[in-house]
Order: sequence, then structure tokens, then C-alpha cells
Amino acid sequence: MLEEYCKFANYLSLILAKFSYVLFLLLILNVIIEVISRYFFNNPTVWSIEIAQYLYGITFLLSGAFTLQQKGHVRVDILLMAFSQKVRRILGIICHFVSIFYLSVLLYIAFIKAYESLKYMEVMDTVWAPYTWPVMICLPIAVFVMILQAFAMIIQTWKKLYNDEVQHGI
Amino acid sequence: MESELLTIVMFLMLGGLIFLGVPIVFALGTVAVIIGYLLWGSNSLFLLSSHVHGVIFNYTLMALPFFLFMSNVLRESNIAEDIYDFMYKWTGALPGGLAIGTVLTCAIIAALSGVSAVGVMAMGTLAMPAMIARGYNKRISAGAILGGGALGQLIPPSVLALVYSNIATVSVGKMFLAGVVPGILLTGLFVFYILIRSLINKNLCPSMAPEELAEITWAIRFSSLLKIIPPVLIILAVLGSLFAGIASPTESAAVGAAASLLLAICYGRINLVKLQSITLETLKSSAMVLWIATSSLLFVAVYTGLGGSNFIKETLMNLDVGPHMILLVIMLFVFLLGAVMDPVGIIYLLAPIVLPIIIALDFDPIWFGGIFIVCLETSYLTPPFGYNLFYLKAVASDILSTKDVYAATPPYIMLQVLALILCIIFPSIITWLPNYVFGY
Repeated sequence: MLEEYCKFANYLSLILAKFSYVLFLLLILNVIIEVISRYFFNNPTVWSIEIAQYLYGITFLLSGAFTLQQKGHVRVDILLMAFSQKVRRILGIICHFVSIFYLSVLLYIAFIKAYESLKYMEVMDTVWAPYTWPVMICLPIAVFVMILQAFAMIIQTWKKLYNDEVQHGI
Repeated sequence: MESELLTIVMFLMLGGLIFLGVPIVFALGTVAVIIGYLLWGSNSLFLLSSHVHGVIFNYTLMALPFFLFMSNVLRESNIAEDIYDFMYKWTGALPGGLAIGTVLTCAIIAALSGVSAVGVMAMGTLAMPAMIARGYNKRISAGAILGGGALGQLIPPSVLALVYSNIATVSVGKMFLAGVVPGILLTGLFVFYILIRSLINKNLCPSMAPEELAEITWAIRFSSLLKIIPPVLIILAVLGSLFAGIASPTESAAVGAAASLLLAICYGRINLVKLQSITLETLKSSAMVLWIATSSLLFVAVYTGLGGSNFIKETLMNLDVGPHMILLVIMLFVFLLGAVMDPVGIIYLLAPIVLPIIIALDFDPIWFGGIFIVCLETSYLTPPFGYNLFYLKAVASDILSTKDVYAATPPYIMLQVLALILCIIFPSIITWLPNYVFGY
């Protein structure tokens, strides 16, 4: 059951990252199209910057969980090398709980903000003035998956701790 | 709460969490959320969303993933190999020529990429074994890679300059140009150092054997020159379009990303599998930087809102010393923080706090940005937390021990500090080029 959960969380993070991968290539394409149409055809678009902001915002939010999974969020762990592996693993679990605390607060706020953007149909402060909700709802989704991912990492670390103890016959 | 106490509590909590091993992004966020909630109540939490959205809806920061993507494409498509091949054919005859070639290659790679990883990893893979095979001193060779790699953050495009200009609301173009002369200065210092050491002690970095040297004819040299024309064209396209004012920083970064991808496709050095891994790698590192941006902005907002920044400003301004002394204190702090923290995090954390001081002292924010980044160059080399140390160790672990890597840094750190001092004494090293290009 726990194993399936971890698999599911890892899978979810990866799917979001792969989705971001496609959006990122579209983002490059979008900016290039704008540059070409403005400088070579003297025909700037009204939507390019907003579309770019959509794509960029969603890309950056949705790749957060993958970054967590790949241990890409930089941490200073070199000082912990003095401790035994067991202590390091326990500390790792505590650290994940700290991360989850922050992410839960963020989730709560993000949820309220996304709800407001839908309720009042907020628009961007630009000429084209598109709705903000497509990006706004990505924040709670991204943070929620990050929390799922962090729990999966706690379970994985805990399992390693348990296996170590079994091996050492403690 | 008293400002002294607030400062102590917030930074002690932050330091505690960081040393516990909490990722910096969550350590910053957790402290900010707790202190903000305790002292301001639940409404302070909405600062959080405004900073996350500030980063999402920030058109300039969008250049960051583009520059990272460009760097990753260049790394994966082995363009560094062409540049190194060219460099060592031209510098090989000099004493310490391979190490000098390494530094110069790093400088060119720096003009193609905005991070230090590309130079260090490429040179760690290519140049390190070559230098060891020719009997070069391990420390000098490893140092050349470590110091040279850090140039990536000084010579434009540079992620640090981009981030700084975003916080200080100064022109990205000016900040990029501000790094050019210090970059060349530092390159020169490294080259000079290697040359002097190899001239004094001929066994340190033995010159190429005459028969080997004879094999490199001028025809070979010039054909190696042809190979680096495409990457040089990319440099010109990216920086040229930016400085000529044709494209915004974001757009020129996107042009660079597309151009380097196109070049890699033309060379047949990329496929879909590689493209996916490059993009995921890019997303990973940009998500890291951008998430740190959100939480350090939040941390600073809480700290400033509670009077902490004013406290630091008043304390420093009330010191009975000249403005340059205050500047040195700030730089010392940056240097020390650089040993334990991520450079981008340092900019996000310190720039909003110290910029009001810099402006009150009547210093030019462009110049300050320049020396800030020169000072942060050291953070890539200073143990225990120095990115270049990790990168080099990761790619050259079979020839270099951790001790070798750490022992290589001191002379190069000293050269970086020397460059910093020169930039402080002669501000025009930094300000001349941006002022010349953009006018006053």
C-alpha cells in the first residue's frame, strides 16, 4: 500500500515535469515567434507576453515537485557528513516535515487565492487582459503534489532506516 | 519585538534549519511564515501568495530558464570540446599552456552560458585528464577549472546579474556589461598566475614535447578556429541583440536557447531523448532558483516589515567609519555567507537589505552589483558549500580526491579577492563599459 503510494507520487511528479517540458518548448517557440513577427514583419502581437507568462508560470510551478523528487532543492548537507547514516536519515525525515509545514501553509493560501481569482474572474493588468485563473489554479495543484512527493520521500527514507536495522539485527 | 532580537531570532532559526539539512527554500519560507504569523497575525500569510505571484508574473526572470537551457544544450552537444580543442592548439606551446587554455576556454564558455556548471563540468571531463596525463600539478590544474568555471557568472550572460538587476531594478543590459571587464581582468589574473608559476618551476606544468608540438601545424590551428565560429556567432546574436536594444533580455535569451538548439541539431549531437533530459535538467535548476526567489523575498519582506532592514541600515550608518569601510563590511559578510549558502539565495536575501544602504551612501547600484557578483565568484570555490567543488568532484572523482579539490582553491580565491579589491579601488573597471555603451 505504502509502496504503491510512493510510486504514485513519483509518477505524478514526473508527469507534471513532462507536461512542463512540452510547455517549455512552446514557451521558447512563442517568444521566438514574437521576436520574428515584430522585427522582421513589424507586426507585434498583443498576446505574446501574456501567453509567455502563462507558459512560464505553469512550467515553473509544475516542475517544483519533480525538483523535490530529484533532490534539486539545494541544501547544505556537507556538515551532516560527520553523523552516521542513521542519524542523517532521521534528520532527513525531520527536514521533510519542516518542508511539509511550509508547503501546507502555502497550499492554504494558494487555495484561497485561486478560489478568489475564479470567483471574481480576475484579469491580468495588460491590454489583452486575459484571465489569471489558469496560472492561479496551478499553484495549489503544484504545492499539493509537492506535499504528496515529500510524504513519499519520508516513507522511502523510513523504509531504508527500517531495512538497515533489520540487516544489523538490532 | 526589538530589532536586535528579531535579527538574532530570524537568522538563528534560518541557520539552524539550514544546518539541519532543510532545503534553503523551505528553511527561508518556514522562518518567514512562523515569525510573520506570530508578530503580524494570519494576514501576513498573504504576503506569501503575493511573492509567489510576483515571481510567476515576472517577465525578466523568464530569461533565466532560457539561459539555463542554452547552457545545458551547449554542454550536452559537446561544443565545449570544440572550444577546448581550439584553445589548446593555440596555447599548448606556452608553459602551463593546457591550464591557460582551460581558463580561456572557460571564459568563452562563460560568454555562452550564464552558470558555472558548464565550464567546470566540461573542463573537468576534458581538460583535467589531459593535464594529469602530461604531468601537470594537480592543484594548479584543478584550480584553473574551478576558478575559470566561476567566470560563467561574471562574463555575460550571467544568472547572478539577471537576478540582481531584477531586485535592484537596474537595466539587465547594463548589469551584463558591468561584468565584462572584471571577467577579462580575472581571466587575465588566472592566466598570469599559471604562467608565472610554470615559469618559476618548470616541472609544475611541463611544456608540450617538441615532437608533439611539431604535429600541430598552422593549418590544423586554423581549421580548429573554423569550428568555434558557430558558437561565437551565438554569443554575438544573444549579446548583440541585447546591447543593440533590438531584443529584451528575455527575448535575446530565447533567441540564444533556440539558436543553440538549432546548432546542436545541425551538428547531429542531439536527439529527442537528450532533449528531454536537457529540458528536465533545465526545469529542475530553474525551479530551484525560482522557488528560492519566492521564499527569500518573503523572508526579506517579513524581516524588513518588522524593522530589521532599518536596524541594519542604522547600525551600519552609525558606525564611525567611512562609506568604503561599510562597503567592506558588507563584502566580508557576502564572502562568509558564500561559504555556506547558495549565491542566488544570497543575492535575494542580501540585496534588498543592503541596497538602501548603498543608495544612502551615494554609491552607484550598477557598480555595487558588479562588486557584489565579483565577491560572489568566491562562493563557488569556498568550502564547505561551493558549487564548483561539487561539480568538479562529480566529474573527476577518479583522478581527484576531495582533498585535492579543496587544496586547489586558496590561490584562486586570493586572486578573486584581489580582483574584488581592484574593482573597489578602481570603480571604472565595472562602470566604464556600461556607461560607454548606454551613456550616462
